[in-house]
Amino acid sequence: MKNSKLLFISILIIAVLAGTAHLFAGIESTGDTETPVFVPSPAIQEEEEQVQRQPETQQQKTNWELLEGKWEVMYKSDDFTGSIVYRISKDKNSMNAYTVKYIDENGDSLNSEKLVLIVKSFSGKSGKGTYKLEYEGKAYDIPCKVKMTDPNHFELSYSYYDYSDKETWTRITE
Amino acid sequence: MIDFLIKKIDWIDVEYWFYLLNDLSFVYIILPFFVVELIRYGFIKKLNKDVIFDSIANVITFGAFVIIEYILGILAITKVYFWMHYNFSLPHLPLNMVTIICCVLLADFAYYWDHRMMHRIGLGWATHTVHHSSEHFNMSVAYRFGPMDAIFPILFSLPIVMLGFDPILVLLSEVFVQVFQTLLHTEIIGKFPKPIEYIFNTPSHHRVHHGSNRQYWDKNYAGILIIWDRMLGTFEPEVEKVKYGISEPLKSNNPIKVFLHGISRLFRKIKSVKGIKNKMLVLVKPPDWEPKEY
Repeated sequence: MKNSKLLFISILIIAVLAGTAHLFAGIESTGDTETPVFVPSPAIQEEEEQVQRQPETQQQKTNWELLEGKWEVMYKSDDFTGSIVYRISKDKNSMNAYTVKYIDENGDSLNSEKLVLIVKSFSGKSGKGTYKLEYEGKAYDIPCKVKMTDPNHFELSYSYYDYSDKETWTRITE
Repeated sequence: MIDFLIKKIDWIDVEYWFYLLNDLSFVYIILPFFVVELIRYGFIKKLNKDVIFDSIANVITFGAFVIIEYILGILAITKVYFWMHYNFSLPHLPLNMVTIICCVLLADFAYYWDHRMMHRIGLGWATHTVHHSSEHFNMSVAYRFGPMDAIFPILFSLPIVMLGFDPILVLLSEVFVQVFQTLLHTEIIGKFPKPIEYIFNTPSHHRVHHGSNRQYWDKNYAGILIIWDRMLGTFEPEVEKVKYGISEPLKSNNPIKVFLHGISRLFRKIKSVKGIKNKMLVLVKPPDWEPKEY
């Protein structure tokens, strides 16, 4: 068989296999096949309708306010043990979290201002966004979820390949 | 169906499946098979000193191979693979059924070309001849490796990493292909039904690959799928009884001699040819290549 033919067939095989993988990678899974159906009680329905009747911007604005302010997260890892203080403020169409300062286990602190989290949607209880992580000098934008557990705490969860984590953000008033 | 194929899979599950298929297969399939083969050798009155010493030499060469693989593994997998993955790769692919299947198929295709290269260039054959030098054919022969057998696959798996597949998934897929290949080293199984023999590499196809009969030279390079050989013109069915070994028999079960004979033969050939150009060509030309003036 001619070398050119061998090359052509080989490239075709590689293109089909790699192309298939990339094609399917672009399709988002709808998740579990059994989606739990939530039937709200009449009282909740009425409350929801009331919320829906409000102008969307007003409702969104109210939701955003729940996240606004300063938050602290404790970390314990090989890279860093201590806490980081963040500031969440409103941007045009999202809520952005910036680092304020790093406090290590000895109480020493280092000021910083870096964008780490962009919350793109937030219902008042849960939301979705992008968590900006750095690993081995490379930046990653990882899809994340935000879940408010009470007015002073929310959970930030994310999963990337084999690594997943959940952080608890606690509101601080300083 | 689509949802099943593209549903994100956790690494812990993938590692568990590959642990079952790759690591544990030695216990539940390879070792029992080898014991059955020894019993069979006993029945057909072929269980002699040569088979035993050949098998011991195979296991020792495997030990040497593992040491080299381990050193290379630390260097290549943790550094080169990840460096390529983060610097010279298409968008990274998620972990789901489609990407796993495609990665295994690509690893199988890479194995085909790696294997073909090891047969068709002098440097490759210097290491791969070790695997073919046994005049027996059983599971222990699958573990008979040459000193550079761990190096060449890296060249062929790196492009898979560059296509966006996770380096660890590529590594697990390569091992899976190798484990599948191991299972083919047996004379116990004759031929499978035609559809299986048409698509998959089988013990029959692989016996041909190990044959020193002239028509069986450089045939059936496949790992899992024999269709690669059919598509790329290197398929040969098992017809004539296979005579195992290499054209220039080694006639030794000394593990050191077994492990290094390919390299020492290559050096002898390099020394014997005249001119720098010819000496270099010995490394990249087919093993039976001779300079024109010879």
